Amino acid sequence: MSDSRKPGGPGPTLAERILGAHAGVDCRAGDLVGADLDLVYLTDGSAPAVIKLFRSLRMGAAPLSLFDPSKVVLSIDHYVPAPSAATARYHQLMRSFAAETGCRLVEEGRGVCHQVLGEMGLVREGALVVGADSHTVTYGARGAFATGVGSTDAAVALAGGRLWFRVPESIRLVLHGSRGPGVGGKDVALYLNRLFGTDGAAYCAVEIYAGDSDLSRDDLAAICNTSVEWGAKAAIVAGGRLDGERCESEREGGNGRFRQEIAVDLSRIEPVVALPHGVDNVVPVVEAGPVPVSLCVIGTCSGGRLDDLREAAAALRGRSVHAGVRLLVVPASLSVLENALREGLVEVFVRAGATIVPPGCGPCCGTGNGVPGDGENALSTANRNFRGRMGNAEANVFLASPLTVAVSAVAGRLVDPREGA
Amino acid sequence: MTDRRNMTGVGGASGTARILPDNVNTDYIISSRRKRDASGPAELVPFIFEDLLPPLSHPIQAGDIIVAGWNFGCGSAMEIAAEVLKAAGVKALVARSVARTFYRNAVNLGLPVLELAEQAPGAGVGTAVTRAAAWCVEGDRLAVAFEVSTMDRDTPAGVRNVTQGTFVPCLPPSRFAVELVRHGGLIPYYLGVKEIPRGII
Repeated sequence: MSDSRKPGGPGPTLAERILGAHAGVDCRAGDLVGADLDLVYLTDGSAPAVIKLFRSLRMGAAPLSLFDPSKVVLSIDHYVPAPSAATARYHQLMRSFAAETGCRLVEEGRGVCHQVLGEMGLVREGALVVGADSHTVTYGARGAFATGVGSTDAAVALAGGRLWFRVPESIRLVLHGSRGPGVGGKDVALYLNRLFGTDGAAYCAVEIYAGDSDLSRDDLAAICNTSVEWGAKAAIVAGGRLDGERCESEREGGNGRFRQEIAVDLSRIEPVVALPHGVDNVVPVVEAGPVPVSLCVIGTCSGGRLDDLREAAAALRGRSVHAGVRLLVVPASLSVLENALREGLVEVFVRAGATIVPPGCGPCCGTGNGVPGDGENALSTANRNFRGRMGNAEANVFLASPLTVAVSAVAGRLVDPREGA
Repeated sequence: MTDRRNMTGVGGASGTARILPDNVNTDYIISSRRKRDASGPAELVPFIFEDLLPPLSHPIQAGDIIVAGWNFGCGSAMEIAAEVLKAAGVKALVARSVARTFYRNAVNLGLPVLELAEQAPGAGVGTAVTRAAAWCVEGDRLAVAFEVSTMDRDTPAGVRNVTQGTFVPCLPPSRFAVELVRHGGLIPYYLGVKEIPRGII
């Protein structure tokens, strides 16, 4: 046993605890473990390949059986409503697979898996979750070790309920203080893109302490969502039960075996924007200048939660989207949309001239409606701005907070939300 | 002396070097919109790296070995990114570093992936192309050993540049990754060995 396991030595990280608990061993960074999964989910972007591989594992044996149908969810969110015959067939395949195996199906229009499964109460603190989609890391905001996997991993996970993991090293990220006016959770996420770069947290778990900040759970979801862009395997918000133990150990001066410790004073963060074509190409909005914008997107799994829509609606109330701009609003889930209706936010969007897109992934990865034209600048709350990401390699994608996108949609150009406030 | 190195172990492959930049994300390997309506990896092969700037001098071909910079395969977890490279006949991938989901997906498909060791040449500043030039240029003949034969324990994982007569060390892959490549991927492993063991493996 290593020195760090002696009484009084630094305690295990959250990643070590969660993976260890699911592997039935004490483990530490660098170990490889086989660990049992609490939840496996697929999207229409991955399910067709996964189902095919899963069937090959069973080699025709009937009936098909999942390791535990209550721990498997299929989510129709990337291509909704189906824009082509091929995608409609994927959806048919998913519906029949769910009926055959008894697993849950999240139908089209219910929202993005990275939001909906949490609303369904399927992601608990300390859980080990894999999703066949890179933004599965979002569920770290609920205290889970949640990470993205490919189709082969997902197929084996469906069959056996267990996968191999390299126990990651951890980075301790303390977010503290209160944000200034006009600064959203998404600004913090983009700021961290620049701080970490595209591989500053490669293979690591980022353990986030935000108890001394003004960040909401929706803000933390946006931040965890973005952690995969830093190369992270998972981002886990310490809180609740595990946090209690951790706070205790922190008071005693022991605080886990971290590769690196970073503290960020949120009061120093300004509204920022990621310029094309890199997620870490982040500058303050004021430095980017009055870039003209023609397609604006507020929503998806990185900017379409209720807090995001509230921030955007506050800026759009009684105003109209600029004549040269299309504004798309994509609630992260049907439940978010219902709440937005109840709070009158949808009315604000519609009166401003926005188009409400069905809850789901929207135009984020160029697979749904809302593809920008040649030479156009798109300003979006999504998480990636790679060339061609939104479906047209001749367009430029800028990333910003829901509030920045809203005020820019009104002005027809990139605007710092503090301007004229 | 490099001639003595045994390249016939697990994941041994030889091929032609194709140099790629840093941070090649999965959308640049194959775009999500191309994936959406395709029935399988074979029909996506003509679109590999289509959005990459600057564009490749010529398409990826069977027998190529990809030599990339930092963080190859970042972005989406979509396995099709590794699958299309395999479908195109790419024999192996050598990078300064590889993003975790791409690494997993590649070894799960039995595609050997190696990350250069810290002491490998070309770790300094510059573009991925100028850094790679410290040991490899486009078109060089390479021989890759993912893990070498157990008969030759002194030979580390690495790449032999046959054209230039040099050897570049790589980080040793984990025992389990070697096991997966040995079986030809996670699916054959699962069919042959069955369960992934619980606990430390």
